[in-house]
Amino acid sequence: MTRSRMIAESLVILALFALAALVFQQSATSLADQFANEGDAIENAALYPKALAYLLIALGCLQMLMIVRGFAPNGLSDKQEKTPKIEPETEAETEPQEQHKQQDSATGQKAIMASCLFIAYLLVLDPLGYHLASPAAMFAFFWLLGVRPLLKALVVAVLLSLTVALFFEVLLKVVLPLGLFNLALPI
Amino acid sequence: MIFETILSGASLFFSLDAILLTMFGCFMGIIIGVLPGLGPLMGLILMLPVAFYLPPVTAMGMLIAIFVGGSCGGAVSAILLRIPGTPLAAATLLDGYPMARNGRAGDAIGLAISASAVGGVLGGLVLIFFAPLLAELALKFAPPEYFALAITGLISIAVVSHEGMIKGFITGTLGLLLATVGTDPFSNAYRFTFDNHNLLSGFHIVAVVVGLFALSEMVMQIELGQLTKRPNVQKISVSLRSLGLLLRHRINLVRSSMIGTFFGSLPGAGGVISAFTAYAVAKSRPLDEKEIYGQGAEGGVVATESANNACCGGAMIPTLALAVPGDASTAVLMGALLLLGFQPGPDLFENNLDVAGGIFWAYLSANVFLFFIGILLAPVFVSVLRIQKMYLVPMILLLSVIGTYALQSSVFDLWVMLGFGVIGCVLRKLDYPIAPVVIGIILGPICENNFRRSLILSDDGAWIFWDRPIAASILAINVLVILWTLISHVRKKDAS
Repeated sequence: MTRSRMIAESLVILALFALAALVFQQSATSLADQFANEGDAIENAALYPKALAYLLIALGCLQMLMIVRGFAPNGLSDKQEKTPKIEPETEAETEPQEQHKQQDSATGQKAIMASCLFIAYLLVLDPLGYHLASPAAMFAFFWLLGVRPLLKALVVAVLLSLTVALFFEVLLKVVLPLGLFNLALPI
Repeated sequence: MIFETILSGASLFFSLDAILLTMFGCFMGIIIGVLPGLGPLMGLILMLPVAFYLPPVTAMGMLIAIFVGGSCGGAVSAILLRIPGTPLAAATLLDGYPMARNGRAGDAIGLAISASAVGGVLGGLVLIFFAPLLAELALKFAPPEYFALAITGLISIAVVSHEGMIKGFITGTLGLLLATVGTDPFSNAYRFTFDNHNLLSGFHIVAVVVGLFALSEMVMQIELGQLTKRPNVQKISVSLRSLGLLLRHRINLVRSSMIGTFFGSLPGAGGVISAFTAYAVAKSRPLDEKEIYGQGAEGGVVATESANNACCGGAMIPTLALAVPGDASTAVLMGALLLLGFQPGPDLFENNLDVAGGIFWAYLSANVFLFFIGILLAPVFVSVLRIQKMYLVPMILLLSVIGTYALQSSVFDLWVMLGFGVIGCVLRKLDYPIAPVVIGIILGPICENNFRRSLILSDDGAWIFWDRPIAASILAINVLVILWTLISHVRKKDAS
């Protein structure tokens, strides 16, 4: 197991411990205020979550043990472990590796940008409304993921948004976010 | 009880809406199954919000048809591209792809579809026979037995997690804990709501499932790259002749379907195990000397496809009769049934026999539709393979957002979905299985209710679970399974 992986795994375990701690904190405050952290199994709303919190802590400790056992005993750093000791024989062998690395970082960046775009879409969906936010967001997604030319991306984005709106607004009678301009399909 | 169930369900299922939507579900299921990376679970998740606008049996018919179609659709890409559209079709490519390379792609797809349909129907017949019997038996159970059963469902999923048993237990426990958010049904106290009225009834299961599975899957797909790649797919023609080909393998078909149904009915075992087991059994008993497995044997496709679709029927037996889902897909189906207002388990057969019967009809009809739609529209499904990911990903993201919003017209649900999307990404990156989270959330209320009811019934606390023979046996089996898995894990590690 690499050092960065071990740190990431440990952080998840810490998050689980924090979650368990939150259960105890809520039991001692909010549930205590409602007189629901004591009494028999019917009255005690904290009984079952607390049992689960104990279980989560026990499992977290076990997993932590596994992480510690799985960590490379010679303490190799991430960089050392990833770097192969055997030198490539030919130039041709190094090229695909380089290409793969570049591709990985490019797709990784794309995934991050897509995630940011998705958050931005959720932020503007309510204030702008579905009929403004969705075509714009879909256009941005199509562009980001490689749909070219841009006109094609725009047409597909508008058509997709309209089809989904027709399905939900007309067939299922769902009121999609109207936004500041109160935009909805004229039906 | 069996005939009563069937008769009472017929009137609920045989309506134009229910039949058309079951056909639509089958069509959508195959399309989603065909696309590599997606599968029946993704289909169920995307169409779950739509189901809440439909009458119960119609909704369940559509969802079950997606489950059935999606379980079969993966075979198309396995046969043509050597990429299984779903993990269920991984065994199909062993002989399906060589058949396609030998110029018999049409026959291979035809066989896969007809074997899936017939296997599904056979699995359905077992479901119709055994589910009411099992439910009748379960009527004798009390809260300790129900608690033990719910725990079994969760443990089974965790134990068979490829990512490791402890990680499976952690995510399962996380799911159980998440299910406690909201108003406590016994004391009416608000738990973990942080004075937020949106949390009074807990996290909406659809928002959680869409986030965990759909959002995280889309991020993974973008990371995998090849967004603009368009696979080279040959043109095929599939005819009803494949049914004739299938009949040559009738013994293999029935045997594999029974293997599929058996493995499906074991929580956690699932379609992949059943497909590979059926393949291994068929390989050991070839039809004739000319049938060489691994080089395009028809029997290989028949075995794997009939097993993995029969598995759907098997998986629905414990889901409907005992409220113990066999995998994430049946957990979502069970969640849908709960949200539609019906309690799976013996209650369903006691109080809503017509709904149970309607579900049986929906399942059988979905498999019949699978045969006709699959064969007649095979060229359409093959052309779906040419859709590039750069179009697919935004489409699924939009459907995820609007589907989640449509449930309660709630922007809060969208943030819940996003939050669970992030959690899903982190868990998947670190090889934590996410199916137990969903099963935990769905089984959570059943677990808690029966746990607390058991303690109320008990004179000596938690010992009640060991005082009652059936509950104690179920729990003892669970403990033995965990120990056996741990020991074999340690032995494997020592050996390596």
